Amino acid sequence: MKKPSTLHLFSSSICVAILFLSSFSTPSKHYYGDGLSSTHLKSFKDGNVTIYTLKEDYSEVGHSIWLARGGKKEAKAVYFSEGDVYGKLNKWKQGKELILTCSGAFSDDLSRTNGALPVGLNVEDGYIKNRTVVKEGMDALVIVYATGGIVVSDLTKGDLFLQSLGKEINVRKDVSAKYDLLKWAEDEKATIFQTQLLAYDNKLKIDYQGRKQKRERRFLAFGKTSSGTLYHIIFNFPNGEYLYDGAKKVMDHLNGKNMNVIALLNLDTGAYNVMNLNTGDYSIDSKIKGSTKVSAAVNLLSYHYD
Amino acid sequence: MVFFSDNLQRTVFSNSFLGVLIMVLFPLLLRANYLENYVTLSKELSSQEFFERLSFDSLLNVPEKNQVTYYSWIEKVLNENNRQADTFFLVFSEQYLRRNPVDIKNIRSLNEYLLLGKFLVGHESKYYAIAADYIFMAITDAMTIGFEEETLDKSNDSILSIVKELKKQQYLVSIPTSNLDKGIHHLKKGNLKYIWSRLWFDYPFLCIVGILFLCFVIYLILKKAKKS
Repeated sequence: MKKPSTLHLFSSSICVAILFLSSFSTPSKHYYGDGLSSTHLKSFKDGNVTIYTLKEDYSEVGHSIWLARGGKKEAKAVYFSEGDVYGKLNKWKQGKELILTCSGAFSDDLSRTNGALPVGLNVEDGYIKNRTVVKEGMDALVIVYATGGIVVSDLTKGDLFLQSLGKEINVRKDVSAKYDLLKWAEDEKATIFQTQLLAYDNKLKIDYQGRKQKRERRFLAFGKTSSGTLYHIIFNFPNGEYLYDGAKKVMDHLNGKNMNVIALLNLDTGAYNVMNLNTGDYSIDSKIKGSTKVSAAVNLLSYHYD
Repeated sequence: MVFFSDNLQRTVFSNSFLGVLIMVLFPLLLRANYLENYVTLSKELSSQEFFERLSFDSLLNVPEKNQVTYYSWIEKVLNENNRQADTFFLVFSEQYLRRNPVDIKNIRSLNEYLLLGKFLVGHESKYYAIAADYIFMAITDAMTIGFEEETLDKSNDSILSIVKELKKQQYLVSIPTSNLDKGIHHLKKGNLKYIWSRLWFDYPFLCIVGILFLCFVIYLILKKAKKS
């Protein structure tokens, strides 16, 4: 028998690769997830921080990090939206116990102008960074309070109620209200950013059109248990999910636990895919990690304990 | 008016410095007369009546040159007569946008918008800030759509200088970038992990063929090296 040539071997390998990949193809444009299940990985801070492994069809697809809010010991959020965010984080974390740091909203550093600028309305600690309200596709207006709490408003409803102003703010339709909000943010040293709203008031806000690209995904969910405990939950899917599939799985997963999802936000996992967890357990922290170093971040969402 | 000024230029002031100067200042003087006369004659009017009866149309023909001088002069006349300049400019901006919808292909008009916006933003008043927001958001939105629909050339320096100026004023115009441009940008920044993850998610077949081809080339090199 004639010995196969090297070229033959190479072309055979290509054929095998095509067959191998075609087994992964999904001709249907429909959601095909079977639902997430979770297994407990670690709890600390008196059970206020809990990490779960997420599985689908018995294979690991990601992790969720649950941070309890309310009570004496609660995780507090902070957000740095522009400039030397790594330097700001280092300065700010003195005397605090950092639990988690990840990239937040979307930034644009490809606009051929110097420096990355946050996409959508943005204020950091009272300093206005971007006054442009994105009209479509970014329906979440997120306010991070100096107390570490977060409030999300649906911009399509325009129903953000600011107690200190005593009125509802619709920044997309009312320029005067936008001025009032920015003035309030400056006075109160508040932080505001805009991002994609995947679910609000326990309802999904995206449809099948959100099945465009498989990407690493990271979501921030705000959910309340039936007993009223509020959780900020980070869902981390490093292996590639369609936006719609990921959001639907998270919603089903949380609703399955009898949780009311106040809002579900999409966090940026693009070129600045930062994710750092500090559980004190290296095997967990090294697993739940973004591909970009914190020092290269263009914005950062961080949770800590005082 | 056009006929009159053309005739004036052709006959009396042709080629003379004085002629050119008068041609530039003449429209400004007409507007000046209107506002000054109106302010003098309407001293008894309430603030609301004053602005309701004011003919913004007469003031919207902003001179091409001396734009900022013109706005400052309006502001001065109104302030001197105890009329709220901030209210004026709030209505003026709305009317200005209505009369001159943003034409992203007209760089000169975009720069005129910028000048008005920058004039407004330099004041400490809610109405001025809102008026500036109207102007800057109108340009930002129009340019963002222009880049999305590829009717704006993202390599045009004049357009990019407007984008930069807007950024300086804290208004971000998003410029869509092709995957190739993104790839080159991140390659320059050394974000190899990001490039690989995008290639793997979007072109898995190409990645596998590439790896196999690389293995094949290495195999051939090693084979050659062994023989020699």
